[in-house]
Amino acid sequence: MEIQAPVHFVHAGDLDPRSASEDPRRTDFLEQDVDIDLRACEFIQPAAALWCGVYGLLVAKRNARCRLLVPEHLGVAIYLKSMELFRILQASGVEVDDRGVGSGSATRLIIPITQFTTESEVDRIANQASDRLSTAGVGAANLYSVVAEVFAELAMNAVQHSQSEIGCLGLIQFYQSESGERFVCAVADGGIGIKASLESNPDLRRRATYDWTAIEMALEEGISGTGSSRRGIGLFGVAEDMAKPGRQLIIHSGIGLLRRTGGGARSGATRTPVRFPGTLVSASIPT
Amino acid sequence: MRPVEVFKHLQRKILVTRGSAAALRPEIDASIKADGQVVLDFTGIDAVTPSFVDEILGIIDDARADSSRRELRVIFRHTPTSLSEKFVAIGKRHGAKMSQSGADAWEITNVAAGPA
Repeated sequence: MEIQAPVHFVHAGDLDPRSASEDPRRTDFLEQDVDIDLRACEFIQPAAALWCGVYGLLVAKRNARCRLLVPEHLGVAIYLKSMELFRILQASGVEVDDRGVGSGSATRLIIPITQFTTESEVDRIANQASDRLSTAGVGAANLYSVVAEVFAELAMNAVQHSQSEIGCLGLIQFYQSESGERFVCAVADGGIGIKASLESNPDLRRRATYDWTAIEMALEEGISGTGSSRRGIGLFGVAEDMAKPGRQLIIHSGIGLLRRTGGGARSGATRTPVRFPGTLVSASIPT
Repeated sequence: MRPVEVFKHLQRKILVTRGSAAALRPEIDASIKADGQVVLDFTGIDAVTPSFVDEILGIIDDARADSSRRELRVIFRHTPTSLSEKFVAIGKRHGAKMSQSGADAWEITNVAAGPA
């Protein structure tokens, strides 16, 4: 199976659904050879890099052969290597031929792609992020607390609810583009997805009908798969934080996708042809 | 009344887990028992998550239930962020009203207003 990434790869929804919809979380995943082909990629965003990580790790977990074909564009390849994507995949048995790709400068990366499974790891990474933001001195200093808080909340949510057999992946990046400077916090997992998580609460089972309705529900206050009255603030809180003008939130879980920009109408989630095998949340904060 | 200096006790700038909040229980209990109020000083703290705040309010609920006081006064001072909707929502779950008090303080009143 070959999954070809587009030249401009923003998130998994950009992939060709004919090749990328096989779900490697399934124990009956039959593919024995999977190539994630990034060779033509000339631009890749953190959400897309995390999809590569999650998909590759899940395929490796199924004991199938998996190769990540490195971008021919050297700058993009160096960027992915500095993000630690190659190292994480290689450590799990995914083949990555990164010869000739230097590590490059990782100054824009506050936290490279990091694998975690426990709350104490989230605590440590969030505090590391705070220290690195202060040291790097990039962007507006008054946003550092928001960045660290949003990352911590997304990461805690993933650890507590995802039931991911590959753990969770997260990163924080200071991102410079033509449209300005932004912080991007992104967390992804290869777990059960938002819909299945909410379905574990009997009171929500009939409402969480589809991945896209489940995503919308998860943004409401007090909605949690645990059924506890003390839970259900995490994603609601992040959505509130991201409602400020210019901030962007992407949630991709199963075949549900939400892309929302703060300051405007609160757009709903939609169906997307490409399944994310787990959940990805990416929060982008302009500085 | 001496404030509870959160950074001094927890030695971390980002307060993420419910477990970290639980480490403050003895100080919160002692303060409420002695004074009927508690001041948490967040000097040196860069961010708090909703889970952390929820756990703190739970500890305060417990302390109130263990005391004979019907109302407590709770102040979070030198908070890292202004009081946002998500924190107000957490307060409501605890029967508490949270309000911004000055530039960097939150006041929390009527914690667990129901019968003890």
